Order: sequence, then structure tokens, then C-alpha cells
Amino acid sequence: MTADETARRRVLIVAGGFADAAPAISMAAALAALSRAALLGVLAREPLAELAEGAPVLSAAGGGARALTREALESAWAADARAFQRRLSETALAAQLGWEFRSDPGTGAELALRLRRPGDMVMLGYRRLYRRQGPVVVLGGPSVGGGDAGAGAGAGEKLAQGLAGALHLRAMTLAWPARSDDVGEREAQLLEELSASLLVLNPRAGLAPQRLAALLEAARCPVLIGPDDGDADVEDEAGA
Amino acid sequence: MAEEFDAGEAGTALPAGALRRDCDAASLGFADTGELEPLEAPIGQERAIEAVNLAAGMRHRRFNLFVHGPEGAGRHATVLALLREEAARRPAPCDWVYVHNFDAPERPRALPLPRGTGPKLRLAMEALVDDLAQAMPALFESEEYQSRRAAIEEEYGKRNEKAFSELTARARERGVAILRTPMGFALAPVKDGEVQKPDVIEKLPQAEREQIREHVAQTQKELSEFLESLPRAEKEHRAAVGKLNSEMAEQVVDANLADLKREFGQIEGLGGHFDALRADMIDNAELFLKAGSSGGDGPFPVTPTRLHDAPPFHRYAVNVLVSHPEQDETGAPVEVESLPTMANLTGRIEYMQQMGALITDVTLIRPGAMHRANGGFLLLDARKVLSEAFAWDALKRSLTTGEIRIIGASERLGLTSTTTLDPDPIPLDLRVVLVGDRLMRLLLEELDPEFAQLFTVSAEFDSEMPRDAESMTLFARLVAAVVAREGLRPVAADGVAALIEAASRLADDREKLSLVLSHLWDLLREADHLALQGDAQRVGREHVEAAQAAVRRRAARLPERMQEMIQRGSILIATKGSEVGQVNGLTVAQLGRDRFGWPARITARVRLGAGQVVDIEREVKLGGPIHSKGVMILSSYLSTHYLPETPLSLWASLVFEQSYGGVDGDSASVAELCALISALAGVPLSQSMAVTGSVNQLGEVQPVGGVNEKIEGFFDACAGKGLTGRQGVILPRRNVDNLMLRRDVVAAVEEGRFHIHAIEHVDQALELLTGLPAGQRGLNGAFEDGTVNANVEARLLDFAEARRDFGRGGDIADGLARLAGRSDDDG
Repeated sequence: MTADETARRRVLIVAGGFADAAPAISMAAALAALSRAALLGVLAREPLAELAEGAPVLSAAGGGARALTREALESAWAADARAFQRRLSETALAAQLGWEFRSDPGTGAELALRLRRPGDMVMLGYRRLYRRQGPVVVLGGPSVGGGDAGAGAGAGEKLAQGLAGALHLRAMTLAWPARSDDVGEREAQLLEELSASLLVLNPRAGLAPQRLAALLEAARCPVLIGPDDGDADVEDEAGA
Repeated sequence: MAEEFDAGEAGTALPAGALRRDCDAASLGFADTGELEPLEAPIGQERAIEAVNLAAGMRHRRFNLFVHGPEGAGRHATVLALLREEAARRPAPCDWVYVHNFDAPERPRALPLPRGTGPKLRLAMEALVDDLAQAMPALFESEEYQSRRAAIEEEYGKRNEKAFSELTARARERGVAILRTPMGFALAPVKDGEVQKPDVIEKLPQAEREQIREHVAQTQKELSEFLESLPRAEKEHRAAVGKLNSEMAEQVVDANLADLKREFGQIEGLGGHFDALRADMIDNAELFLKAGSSGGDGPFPVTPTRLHDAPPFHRYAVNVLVSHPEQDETGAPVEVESLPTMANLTGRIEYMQQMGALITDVTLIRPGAMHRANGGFLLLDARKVLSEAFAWDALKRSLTTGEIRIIGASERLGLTSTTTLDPDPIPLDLRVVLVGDRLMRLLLEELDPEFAQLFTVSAEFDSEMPRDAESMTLFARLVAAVVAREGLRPVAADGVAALIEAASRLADDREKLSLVLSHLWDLLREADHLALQGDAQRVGREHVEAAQAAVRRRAARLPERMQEMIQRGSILIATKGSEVGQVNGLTVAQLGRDRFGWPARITARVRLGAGQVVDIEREVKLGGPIHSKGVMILSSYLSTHYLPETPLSLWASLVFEQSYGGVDGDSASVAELCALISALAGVPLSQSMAVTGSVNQLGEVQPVGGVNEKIEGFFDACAGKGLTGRQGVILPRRNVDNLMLRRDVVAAVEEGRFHIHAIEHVDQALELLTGLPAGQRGLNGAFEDGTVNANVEARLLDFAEARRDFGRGGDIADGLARLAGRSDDDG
């Protein structure tokens, strides 16, 4: 990778709200600092109002429900965008990193895959309902992806080990079934039992939005898609 | 200028042998100081030594000592030696340490420890912290911990994940989706995996809509219960992890603390501290985890061996404030604080800068001299203590309360704007010795009521002792001690004799020896240096006298300048001839150690008046109070000695000519009276003579100070202009014992070229200065005709009559004519 390409490297943080983005920002900043990349925060505005206007909404603390309205949703997005951008800028400035922020319509999975460029890493934010110190899980093994996916999986393991070390967590690799657009019941159960803190995906595993969304829902933790150019320097440093 | 007479027959002249007291080297009984046993103890200070010993030996806390006496009398050295002697008989005190107070961090705890234990405990505690920083991460990375932690994570994770999975599964079965939105969790009906939009639902049959609403409500209820249960579950989870961490931390802390407890746990006060320390270490195990794991960072990974230096671990540190060796043979401490600021006395709390703020902790408490001297003695210079802000106050407070409390100056002034500490006060068992001077003691007693309460004992060092055979022998042994201590050449007997003479001259008394020994030892050192330059094996009289001459020469710039001005006539001093109303007085000045004298012309003028003698020096505020007192005594003498039944009708003025720097003392009052009487009597005074001495109302001459320097100053002035054989000095008889004149002056007297007259009454001075009899009252109550006093009385009578005539407004012309006639007669 050339110096220009290095300069363009980014770590994307994609989330549907600030609550999902917040825990991902610090991890993404740590990754960006290792690879001297910039941070790009993306607030994904899913068309929920059209789908579920009037539906009851419970806050994370439970309690009384209120109805989902377009206005309330827009207001919540605006507030989350401000909070997301502020936290992103503070974190980036503290780590002396470049940063950008955008807010786009679409699901997180769609935007993650659409905005991703070669060399980028993508962190899909997910606020876990329950704090726990599960392992950093890399989905890999011979069955992951096709073609040279095995090489990508090896790089993912290194990245996962580096992150696990930085976060004082265990790292583990799951032999994952063949690519599909959904996640099977058995796989979902496996992910659920692992209670992972972070899921690391092979960038060359032919990811599709639906599959990514399904993995996110099954793992219920942030999901990291590694760089698809086999960035040895990032991986080496992360694993050091 | 009139012709002068010869004063040599007046019977007051002193022989040369009376002008100094030489010491016979042969009478000393040794060849040089090598034969003598050096004497380290002070001499002539028995009274002071008794007082010091009393204060040193007494255990009552108010018996602190104030030492005073002249500079250079060896106050510090003598007191220090005596205190060390007493201290050696006492046991060394215990160690004192400060440790963190885990209950009240702002109040560090002071703990007494057995001698020598403080440093050991500090090292042991540092080792404990360093060991834990390695052992703690190792334990938490161990398989045992990881598996137990994983079990907890799995248990709680599974429990909650499973609950949520079951909840979502039930929702899915009911056809309800749980959507994550920025507002929270939205519950929406789904059909065939797709969220059903509201307009679609509205078109559904009533029963179906009711069922969907029921399913959504049921799911909402379950989700709400689940979300509400999460904080409780997390709390349980945290508690389980905390319990595990505590168990693991306890294991490692107890294992590492065991040795410490075994070695130090029996010491009173430490047991409780160890318990609090253990609990804190277990509660804050993550400190060790973080510190231990950070050691591998950076380009040069190192084992974290000095983590005890890191601020987070200062709470476990032992700050050894003062410590004494376990096997201490030296006894109690004797401290000298040469810079007794408040902080240097009572200790201070230092601060360090962290992120722009000033912070402090138990390790930044610094001891003061009182901590170091606790259990022993503290020697301080009183002037320095009094000149340092808050130092005197802090010293008194500590002595009064019997404890050392560390309070900074900024706290006293209320300027501290950062967090600080209030360490436990430390019990004080201390004898303070202040060294000052007499005036300071008097001022303190007068102005500070607490002083007398706290400093009960006073030791006054004498400035001189009698000069006799015994004291001269002791003095010689002191010289031997200095020679031995400083590696000087042995001093020959004649060298010691010269030093004894120098001691007498310094005492201003040939019957005394000065105890301001520092000056004499400086002279000895300089004499030794001269002996070295002359390749002499011993220091002899010639070296001592050469050193004295060198000392005088170095200090002679100002006196030489004065003499030069006299010789050139810039300062008007006549050393021959006679003048009416004019006399040579003598003054002396002290510049540091050096004193020198020189003559000063004193003139008097008289006229008719109302009995007033004007002291011009006082009028222009150049005269001090004692000088003014002397002049008033003159006035009294005149008014009572002459015409006691008649009003004194005189106006007279007295002046020290060419004096611009102020005059004080009454040592010129004899000279002033002579000038005044000369002016009244119209009798000229010899200018070959100079006069010193004070006079009382009866005309008796009283002793004064600095006679040697005054005589030498006039001798130099006369010698510069040429000795005529008539010149000399008149001094009080009572000053004869003070004479230790230079050898050249003595030689001049011996050869009849200079004269020293000792008098007891002012009449003798008048006779010496006028060559006329002073005159005594006869049976008829009048002075004999032709005497000085008769002339004075006649003149005063004229003044009185003239004044009476003025008062009557009568024949002024007659009065004036009478006065004019009297003046013509005098002339």
C-alpha cells in the first residue's frame, strides 16, 4: 500500500444510534491509531417510521412505553447525531486522528458495506444490553468464504488477538459454516452462548447486508470487518 | 598663641612602667605549648557552664536555655560541647514515621517505632508493593483465575442472553419484532419476516388486529420486565466478579504481607495499620494489575521493580521522618539549625505538580530540626529565629503544647488554595538552647510574656576574667588546645606571653584577660602563618606582635586618613601653644572589631546670660543623650561650685569643632569643663595636652572607655607634627588599670618625649592645662587670688552684677564698662 493509500485509510463506525456507536468509538479509535487511519462516523437512519409508526417503544431501562412517531424519531436521530459527532471528534482529537461524520438513510449493514473502501475497517456498533467480558471471536476456519478467504481469516485472527490483548479479553476462532445470507439457528445459538465482546469478520467472506445484519443480531455485540487488503502492518502492530 | 608652661611637675605623671603590663615569659614555666596539656574546656565561664549544665540535665520541659554574652566568647562551641556531653549520657530516642491514614487520608498517622526500624519498614513496604505489582497480574492471568472468571461470565452471560433469546423467540412466535431505534426498543408486528406497516394492519379484520395488539402488549410486558431486571443482574454479576477478585487479591496480599507482619506486626500501632493496609490493597487490586501490566509497554520493556515510587502507591509508603541507628552509642541527638525558618524548624509539606494542580501525599512530609532533635537538644541563634517569619511563634507553640505540628506559612496566612495534609502532631521532648545577646534577652523578657515561661534558665558568658598566674596557665593550655586542634606550630612561651598581653589589651584592662577568644585565635593563626613564612619552628613573640601590627595596618586606612588631615591642617588640632577656651578632647570610634582614637578640638564661649550652657551638638541633634547629660553636669558644677549664693548669669556654648557625625558619651566632659572654665577665667589652656574623662557635679573625674586608643590617637597626631617633650594626655586615675599602650608610646614616655597624667579631680586637669593653681576656698570663703577658680568666680560675679543692673534698668553703661574692664584684665 502506498503512502497515499495509507493516508486515505479509514475506520468506519456505523451505528443506528449513539447508544450503539458509543462503545464502538473507543475500539475504533484504538484501531485507527495503530494504522494511522482516520475515523469516519456514520449514523444509519433506518426508515423505521415508515415501517412502524405508532408502535410502542421501550427505553433501555424498560418502564412505560411511548409511541414511535416520525417527529420523535427525527428528534432522536438529531440528538444522537450531535452526541455521536461530539464523542467522535473528542476521541479523534485526543488520539490525534483525522475524523469525519455523516448521517445517511439506510440500515447499518447496508451503509457499512456501501461506504467501505479497500483498506478500510468497519466497526458496526451494537450496544449490548448486558455488560460482560466475553471473548473476541473471529469467524474463520476453512469454511469461511471462498477463494483466498483462508488468508483473510488468518489476518483476522491476528487482528482479533491484538484487540483481545488490548482489551484484556480472550480471543477465539470459530470454524464457521459456508457462506449464506442468513445465520442458522445452530450458529446463532453458538454465538449467543459465547457472549462475545467483539465479533471479527473476514473481509473477504463475501458479506451481504442481510447476512451482516443477521450476524449482528445473533452475536448482539459490535462487529468488526477487517481490511480487505491484508494490511500486514496493522495486524502486526495490533498483535504486538 | 600664648607660650605654654611645663606640666611635668604636677605630680600626676605616670611612669612608663604603669602604661602597660607585660607578661614575663619566663614566669609561665614552659618553653612552648608542646609541653602543655591542651585544655578543651572553656575558662572563666563557670557561671555560664553551671547554667548550661542545669538546663541540659533538667527534664522539666520549661527549662529551656537562653545563652548570651559577647560575640566570639565561644558561646556556640562551649554550649554545643556541654550539650553533647549530656546527650551522650541519654539514650537515643525512637524512630518516627508517617504512614497513610486509610480512614482519613488528609490526616497521615505518626507512628513511633523502635530505633532503626523505620528504614527497615520502609524498604519492606517498598518491596511489598513491587512484589504485589508482579504477583497480582500473574495471579489474575493465571489459569485458575481465568477459568473461574470465565465461569462467572458464562453463568451470568448465558442467563441473560438466554432470557433475551427466549424473549425474542416468543415474540417471533407471536409475530412481533423487536426493533432497535434511537428511541429504544420498538415492538412491531411481523408477517412472513416483514414488518407490517400500520396502514396494512388497519385494513386487517378487527379480531386479527386485536390479537396483534394483544401479542404486542404481551411482548412489551415481557421486554419491560427483562430490561428492568438487567441492572439487578449486572449488579449480581459485578458482585460475583468482585468477590472472585477479592478472594484472589486476598490470597496474594496475605501471602506477601505475611513476612511483613511477622517482622513488624508486634510493634504497637503497626498491627492496626497493617490491617487497614491489607484491606486497601485488596480493594484496590486493580492498581497493581494496571501497574504490573504496563511494565511491558514501550520500546524497552522492563520489569516493574520500582513501582513503589509511582504516586498511586504512595499511600502504602512509609515516610521515615527521623531514624536513629538500632545500636546507637551516640546518645540523644544534638541539632544545630543555622537557618531556622518555620519550615526548617517544624517541618513542611511539599507539593508536586500534576496536570496543573498541586497535590501532596504522605511521602511529601519533610522533617524539621525539631523532629531531628526530638529527645535531645536543639541549638538556635536567637536573632535568626526572631528574624524568620512565624519561626519564633512556631517554636514557642511547640514548646508550650509539647508537640510538633506541621503548619505551612501559606496555611497560617490562609493562602493555601489546594488540598493539603494535617499530619498527626508528634510528641515533643526537647531542650531548646537559644544563643543571643543580653539586649535581646532583656527585650524578649520585656515584650514577650511567654519567653520567661519557656526559657527559665539564662547562661551569661563573661567577656573577661582576672589575669593572674592560674588564669595565665589555663590560657596557655587553651592556646595549646588550639594549636593541637588546628595543627599549628607550637607557641613559644614569649608568644603565649604576647597573646596574654593581647588578651589584656582586648579586655581594655591589664588586670584582666579577654574571653572573646575568637579574636585572639585569629591573631594566633595569623602569627602561625608568619612563622611559616619565616621558616620558624615555633610561634614567638615577634610573630604575634608582627601579626598585631599587620592587623592594625590593615585596619588603619581610616585612622591614617584622620591623622593625615590633622597633619595637613584640614582638621584643626594644635599640639603646642596655649589658647583660651579651647582644649584637645579625645574621641574613639569602633568599626567592627577595630577601634581607633583621635583628638578633637573642643571650644567654649561665654557671655552674660541667664545661666544657660548651650550644647551645640545637642541643639543640632548631633549629640547623644549621655553627652547632653555630661554638659548639664557641667552647668550644675558651675552653678554650685562658683558663687552658690548668686544666680548663674552666664550664657555659654560648647562645641566639638569639625564634628559632623554625632557625639555621644560623657568622656569629654572634663575637657569641656576645662574649656568652659578657661573661657570664663580668661586663662589659656595648653594645646600640647589632650584630655579625656568624665566629671561629676563634685568635680571628681570618672573613668571612661577606650583610653588606650585615645592616647595612641593623640600620640600619633603629636608624633606626626613632631614631639616637643611637653605633649601628653590627661586621663582619669581610675583608668590607669586599663592602660595597655603600644610599645612606641611607652618608649616615648620612658624617654620623656610624651607624658601621661592621671587625675582625680578637674582642678588637677586645670592646673596641668593652665600651669596655674586651681585654687581652694580660703577661710574667708573666697578662692585664693591669682588662681583659676578665683578668676572664674570674679567673672561670674561681674556677669551677675551686670545682669542685676540690666534687670533694674539702671546704669547699663556702668555694667558694660565693668564687664569691659574685666575682659581687659583677663587679656
